[in-house]
Amino acid sequence: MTEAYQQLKKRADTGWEALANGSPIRIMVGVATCGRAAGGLQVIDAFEKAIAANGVEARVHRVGCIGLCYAEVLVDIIAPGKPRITYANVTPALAETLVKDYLVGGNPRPDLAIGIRGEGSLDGVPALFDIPDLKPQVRVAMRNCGTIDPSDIDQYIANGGYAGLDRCLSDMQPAEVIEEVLKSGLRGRGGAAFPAAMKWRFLAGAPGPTKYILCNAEEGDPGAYNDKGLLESDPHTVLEGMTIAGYATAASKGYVFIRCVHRDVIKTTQTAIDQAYKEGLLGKNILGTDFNFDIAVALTGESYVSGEETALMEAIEGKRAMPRSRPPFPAQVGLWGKPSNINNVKTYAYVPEVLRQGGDWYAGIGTERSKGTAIVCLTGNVARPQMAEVPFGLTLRQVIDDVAGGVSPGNEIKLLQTGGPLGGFLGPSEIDVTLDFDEMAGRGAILGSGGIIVGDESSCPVEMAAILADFNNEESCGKCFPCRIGTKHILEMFETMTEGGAKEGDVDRMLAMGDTLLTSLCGHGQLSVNPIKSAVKYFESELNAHIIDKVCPSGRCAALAKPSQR
Amino acid sequence: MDEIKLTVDGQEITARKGQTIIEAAREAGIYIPYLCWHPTLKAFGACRMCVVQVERMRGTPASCTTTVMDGMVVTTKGRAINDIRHNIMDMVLSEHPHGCLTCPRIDHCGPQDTCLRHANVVDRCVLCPQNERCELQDVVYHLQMKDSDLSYEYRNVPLDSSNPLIDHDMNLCIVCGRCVRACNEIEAANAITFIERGDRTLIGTSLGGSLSDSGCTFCGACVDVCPVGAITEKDNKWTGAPEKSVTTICSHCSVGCQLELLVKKDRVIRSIADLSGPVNQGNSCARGKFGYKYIHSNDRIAAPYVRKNGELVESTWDEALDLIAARFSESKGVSFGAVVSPRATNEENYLLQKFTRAVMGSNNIDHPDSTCNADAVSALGETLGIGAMTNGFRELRDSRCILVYGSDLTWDHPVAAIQVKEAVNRGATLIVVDPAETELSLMATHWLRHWPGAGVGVLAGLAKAVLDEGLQDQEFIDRQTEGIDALKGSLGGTTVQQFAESTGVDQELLLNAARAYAEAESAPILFSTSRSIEPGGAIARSAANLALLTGNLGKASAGVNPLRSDANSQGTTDMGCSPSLLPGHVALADGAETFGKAWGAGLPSEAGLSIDEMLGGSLSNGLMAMFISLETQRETPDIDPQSLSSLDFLVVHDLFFSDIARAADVVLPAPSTAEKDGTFTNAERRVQRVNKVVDRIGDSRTISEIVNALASRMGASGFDFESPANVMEEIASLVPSYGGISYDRLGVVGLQWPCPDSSHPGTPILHADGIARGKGQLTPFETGPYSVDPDADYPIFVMSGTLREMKGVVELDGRARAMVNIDDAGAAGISDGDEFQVLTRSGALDAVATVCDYVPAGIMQLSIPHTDTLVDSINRAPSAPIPAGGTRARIARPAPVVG
Repeated sequence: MTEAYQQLKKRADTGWEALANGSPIRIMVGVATCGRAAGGLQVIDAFEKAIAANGVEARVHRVGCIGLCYAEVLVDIIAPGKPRITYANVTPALAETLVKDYLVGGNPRPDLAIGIRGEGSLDGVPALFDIPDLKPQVRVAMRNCGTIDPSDIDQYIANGGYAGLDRCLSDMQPAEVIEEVLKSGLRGRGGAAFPAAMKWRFLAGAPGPTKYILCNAEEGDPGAYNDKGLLESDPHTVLEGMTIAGYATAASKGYVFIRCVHRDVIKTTQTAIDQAYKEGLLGKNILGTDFNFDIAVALTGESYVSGEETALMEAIEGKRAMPRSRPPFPAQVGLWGKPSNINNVKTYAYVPEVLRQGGDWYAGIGTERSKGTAIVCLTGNVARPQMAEVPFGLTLRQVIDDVAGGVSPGNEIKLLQTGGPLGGFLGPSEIDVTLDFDEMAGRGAILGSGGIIVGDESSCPVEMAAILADFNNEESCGKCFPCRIGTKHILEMFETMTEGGAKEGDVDRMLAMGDTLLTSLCGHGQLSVNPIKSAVKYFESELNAHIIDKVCPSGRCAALAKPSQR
Repeated sequence: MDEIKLTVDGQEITARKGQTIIEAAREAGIYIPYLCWHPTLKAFGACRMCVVQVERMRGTPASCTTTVMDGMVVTTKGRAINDIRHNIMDMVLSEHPHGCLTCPRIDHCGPQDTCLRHANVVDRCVLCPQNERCELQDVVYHLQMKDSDLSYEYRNVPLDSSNPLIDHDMNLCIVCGRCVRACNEIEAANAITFIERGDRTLIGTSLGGSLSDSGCTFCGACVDVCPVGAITEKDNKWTGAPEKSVTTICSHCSVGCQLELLVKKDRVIRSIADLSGPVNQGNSCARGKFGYKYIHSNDRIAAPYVRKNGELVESTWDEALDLIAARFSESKGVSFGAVVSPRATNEENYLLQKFTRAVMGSNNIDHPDSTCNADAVSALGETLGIGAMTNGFRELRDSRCILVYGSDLTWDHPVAAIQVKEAVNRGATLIVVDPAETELSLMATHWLRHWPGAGVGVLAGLAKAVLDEGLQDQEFIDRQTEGIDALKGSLGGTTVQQFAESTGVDQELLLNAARAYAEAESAPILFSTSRSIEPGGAIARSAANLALLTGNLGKASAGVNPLRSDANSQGTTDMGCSPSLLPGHVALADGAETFGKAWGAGLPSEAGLSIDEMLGGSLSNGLMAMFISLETQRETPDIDPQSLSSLDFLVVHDLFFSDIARAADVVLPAPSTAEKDGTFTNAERRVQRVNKVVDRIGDSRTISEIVNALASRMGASGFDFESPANVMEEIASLVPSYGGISYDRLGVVGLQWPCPDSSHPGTPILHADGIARGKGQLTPFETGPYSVDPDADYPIFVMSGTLREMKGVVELDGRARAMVNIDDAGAAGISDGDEFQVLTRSGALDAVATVCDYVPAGIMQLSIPHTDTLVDSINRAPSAPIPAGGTRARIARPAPVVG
């Protein structure tokens, strides 16, 4: 352990101990995007007023999102001699009640609590991680989410943060770091699931001295918000992961690439970077060693394709985000012509724990070929929309039913949209597929960014396909001819279909364009035929109902007849 | 070693390492259809039309982005590939008007025919400007496309015809991105870009404004690469495919760009920058691209004119020549003078000076460009041994630091400016020494904006800083220069701070610029003397001092580089069109014997009159008869016809009637550059072939032909040459630096002199084997300050500049803009936005005032909107003279409009 780290850790532990003991009392309010949307800032206001009015000595912390988005605003209260108690759906009025009843009156209001953490117990309140949502979950990348204040580097360090980097810098050669990551079986979380260590090895072998570590936080998929969630809740785990990657590959600089409109994510990340520089965890002579590494935030305009790795590099260079042709690959010719490695936010977020607890430990979680956990965002027709971290090996149905509470009673899951709009959708027959990169790929689905949108029996696959096709056309960067024009015709076909104007043969005509779309430079064009493919594969009879009978069986396409009207 | 063998469609072909499949196949004569690829541009890989199959490679890679490998087996045909190409073309045609494209009748239909299939007017190829030269048509025919069942939608975007040179019809755009890439890769600009996304993606300006607002220089590269009719030149938009193409040299400036002039029915209909041009390599500027219309102007002088009873009347060549021969015979010796055009060929100018010296016995010969540049060129001759650019234009892009002195390069030498921009894009430091704002000054790392007249002081300040900080190349100074003590002496007792104060340049800026210049591996100085008050000689000597102090000579991307004004300014000097120098820059006394012997005549030994002395309006210059050849394409030179009134006999040879021609006794029609053969020598000493493109217009004759006819009438010999090539033989035999130059050797890339013998490859970089003079002469700095003669009537000093500052408001309304200092404006009673007249001794020009403090009191920066001046200047000889830089002017309110 480096001396520098020892000192940081000592200071951090002291602070955390005081926090965990509730001295003074701590009130931790979830104010990630979901928390704010639910009124988190007003809740903080209410707490501050109430503690002042009641003369309570307490500190209010702003924490990120633990994942239970539906239950926001989430508030944890730590009082001396009591466990950390989590309250859900807190309003300003409730905040005042909690101060009065608990902090003044000594009644922790178990009726309002959903779980407790740490030692001690509270009548009738389960341990937080025993509630149905969290029980199946394993927290690795999200270990600190909603638990620590992302703007306080000490809280991160006290919870094991930067220990992985410290281990690398004090005990390991760069090649050994790559070995450790290889051993963990960590695969990229951006969609292609390529082994992270292999990618790093390419970069390590590329000539220096200037090499880049790029973190893709563009995250444009509708229904996916885990990259933003991670950066908002625990930015240091991403920065530490990038720094470790920088050390392993002898890279000189990192960029976190965020869409310009996500102001809070940008601010949180920038604050974390500033703190890391201040504490000697970035910049020259990191932790007193001779390792130098810089990280900066780079912004992009609003363009879905700028999440594609080569388009992302164009965007950082200040150009229009359009993909480049490969080869050469980024590890040879990347950002500004220099060798570059690009990984998703989540991929980097795992790295500190892989290094701190070891590759074998990480490889012990998950399935044979998909190690560790998946961070999924569950939305759509589910009872409890949320961001969850579940081990590979569960089925999709388990995740939807157990974690997200399933669809409404008496209803069935009809379709799932996974991996972003280019992934198409899955039908009822695939809902028991195991959460596993290869299992899913075998069924024509991708885990991709981790977004899972659930549709129940009220959803119409044709309407869904039209929505996806609209997105694909709208977001095509316009470079490759097949993508720019092909997506338009696919959209046109689905729109015509929802309006009752489709003819037999239309679908085949579009499917025939599949090979041509495949020639596009990036996945956007290559995969844009998927909405049609999945509609044909899982819902052929409904398609035909739209085309031949001019009927929308689920009754959603307004221009068509409802089944009852036939 | 770098040769690669691969098989394409069963045929074994060889390729070079690094080539892509499409390049290799094309060279081997195998056609692979493409849309977004273009030979001048980097591969883009967007249209996917050029897909092929390669053994052991997945899928169908694009042949434009796949590099060749030894043993590669490529298939460019077959069902799978054909399906993809058809699919893509179906898609393209679903958004490109194609009423005629898939119609079997296309070859039978003309624009006037009624369409039997009722295709919409906007959908018909026969009504498209690109018909017959459309690359999309070619690919459609190659693929044998039939009607597609994809739904077709006309975009219905309004035609953008808002500027005078380029039309945009985005209904025809196939979004291949060639124009965007050409703008960036060829012109180092970003005036146009992709706009919107998804299927709405099109080409436009980033903020939706006009092209000129977006930084367009109207170089036309986008027009040249557009495969369809989306971006077209306004002129000759509808003239269809050319009948032939002739490569020649642009006549508009001294850069020497090679152009392909496209010809139909013996008219130049288009100009395209030549890829194989050694200097421009596919670049051109607005003048090169669009400046050909003057050739076919109806205002061209069509026949000789002779003054009879005070009137110029149309005449015949015989009558005119007889008259000239008779009158010239009476004015031999110092009473005869000749002014030659720096746009005439080397061969013409050589013969005219030979005629002047050998037949007329006079050294009174000069050319307009020497007014400002002669000093500079001879100063370089004295300090370094050769009076010309030491290095080439193309090397600029590899420089690490460039110093531009007194040149509005982007306007005066646009293609050279592209090299500077490219260097800046590659990370070079740019130092601009200029009191006026120019496009480059706004791009500069260090803009040393000095008081007018203090420019040499800035160079001296830079030298002082270099010496103070010990940044000089001492070894180079010791070995290759002399005069260091005198130089240091001239800086003795001064400080950088004093130079900063006396020039008005911030001291820190001066120091930083000196460091950047001295510490760069290679740092060229580009300078122009035509816009400066400081004397050309002082500028040139100071520039040479800086280069010698820092060892910036004799190596690539460095040197001291005087920019000349006209296409053959350098050649005209080389050919001895100078009152004191014989061909090859030989002093009169040194060459009298050689040249006298060769020309079979005794040569006058007294130096002749310079152009200023000849045309200065002095009655005491003793001139009785003159021959003035001008080849006016643009502004009339600053010659006051009044100054010629003392002459007995004036002959003017020109393309257009100018005020001077109207004052002449005989006017002779001249052919334009496009109508004759010969050579030009550009500013970087490159001798290049000028080729006849179209037949002579009117009854015009070259100087060579005229001089030959006169000589034979006057009983002189030595002027009867079969062709310009024979003239060059004589030049080569007499001018050592041209010794190895012959038409056979010039080929497409020309030769850079010195080229002493027929096996010499030419000399791209001077002083590479040591300074030509022996030792470089360091000279004391002559810091001035200088000022133009004060003139109470015209108190304001006019500088020309491009006024980028005001780009947002400069719409193309043809009005000049002037930046006027607040105090001057107040004194003249004009305010911001007012229209006023810029009055000079030679004329008046209307301008709109921007009242500001960007320019100091007593100075006005005048700018003429590019495109309009261009259109104006290239179509006819303008009637209103444009004040050149350095002119004195005053401000006048225009007379109020009555009624």
